[in-house]
Amino acid sequence: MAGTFSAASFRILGTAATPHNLFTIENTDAAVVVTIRDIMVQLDATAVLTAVMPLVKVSRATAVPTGGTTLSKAQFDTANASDAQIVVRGANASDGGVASAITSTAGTTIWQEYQMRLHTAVGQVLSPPSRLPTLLSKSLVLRQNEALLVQVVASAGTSNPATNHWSVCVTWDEA
Amino acid sequence: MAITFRGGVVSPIIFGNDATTQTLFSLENGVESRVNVLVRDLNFTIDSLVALTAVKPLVKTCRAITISGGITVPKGKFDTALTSDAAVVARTAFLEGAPITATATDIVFQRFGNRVHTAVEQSSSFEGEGDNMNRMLPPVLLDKDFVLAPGESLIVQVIAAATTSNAALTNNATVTCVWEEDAIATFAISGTVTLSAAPVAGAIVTVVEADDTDMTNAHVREVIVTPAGGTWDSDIRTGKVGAAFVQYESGGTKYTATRSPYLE
Repeated sequence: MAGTFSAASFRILGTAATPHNLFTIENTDAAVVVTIRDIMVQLDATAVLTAVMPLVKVSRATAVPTGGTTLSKAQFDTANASDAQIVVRGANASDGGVASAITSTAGTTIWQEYQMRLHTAVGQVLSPPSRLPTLLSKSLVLRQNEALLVQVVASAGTSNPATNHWSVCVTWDEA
Repeated sequence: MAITFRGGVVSPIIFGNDATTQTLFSLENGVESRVNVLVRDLNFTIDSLVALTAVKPLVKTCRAITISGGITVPKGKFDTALTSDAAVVARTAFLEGAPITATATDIVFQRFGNRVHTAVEQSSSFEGEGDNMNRMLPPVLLDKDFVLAPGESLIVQVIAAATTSNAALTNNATVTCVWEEDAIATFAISGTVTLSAAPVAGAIVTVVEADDTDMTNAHVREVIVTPAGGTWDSDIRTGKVGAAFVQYESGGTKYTATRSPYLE
């Protein structure tokens, strides 16, 4: 059924690995087209990192993802139900809890952005939201068996420690 | 339908509560409402006065059920020619004596709040840029309706990793919400209360609305006291059914209607 929907990850801890799959959204239904309206990524890093900060990359996955924690989908209008074959996955099973690894391989990167780091742990810590600004006016479409992957790519595993706390939200239309 | 209200509310300053979960704000569209609420903006800001070296709290916008407590905040109008439905209620937590109790369901959106790792230099409450700054819903609300139908609610809730991350008195948060109300189609029901063929003033007419004649999801639409002439009227949402029950007391004698037909 057509409608607008959204989902949010739990608070995801860094895994000291690179890459680290944070979040995916997939469409396996031939009868539904998903149009992504917003993706927002935030990071709160509580430990000092003097090396280059990790990049957050959004790409089309090379195959439909598996694993992870299936996230609840919220309805913008409860008169509309999301298709069961639209699945959103996050890499933690609860806020800051047990990791649940998403198996997915990145395809061509669509967008990337640095997030934040603390060179010295002094002063205020902001978590500016990273998002694809063009989505409000241009459609990013997921057809059958297509998926979008949000991934942390660090120059070294030590740049994405468990003191990195990630949050990802996605909003999409189904038609 | 037609927009019958456009406006919003602002919270007072809401202090943290030294707990890992705190509901800051709720917007409820009561089941007896005659409008759909279309949320147009939801904004959260926080000024944290003391150092926090642990992860900052996540602030989540969720659909919610069973809301109570807090304080009701007055609704500001963008257009004084429009009137908000009385069943649309905004609450905020207020000090220790008025927490909001609510059960969160689906998470719609979330973002990190603010923290100072060490308390030095300037502190800013602005996160994000342009139209996305401090927003607690995705930036699609101007062309995508986020709808609260009658009986639905949303909340803004702090989820902290530790109680010390949501410090009382030194975490100072505000929430601002703007919405429109869109009238729902209804049909009219009415009647006249009589006793021995004479109209009755002061009779109590209880109008019940339900999904069907089995009274699924029945709720009281309104209670009417009949004026002189004994007449009453109400409205029922299109697609639902209504029933009216009458009570009257005079000189110690209590009366009620002998039947309460379904009004579809």
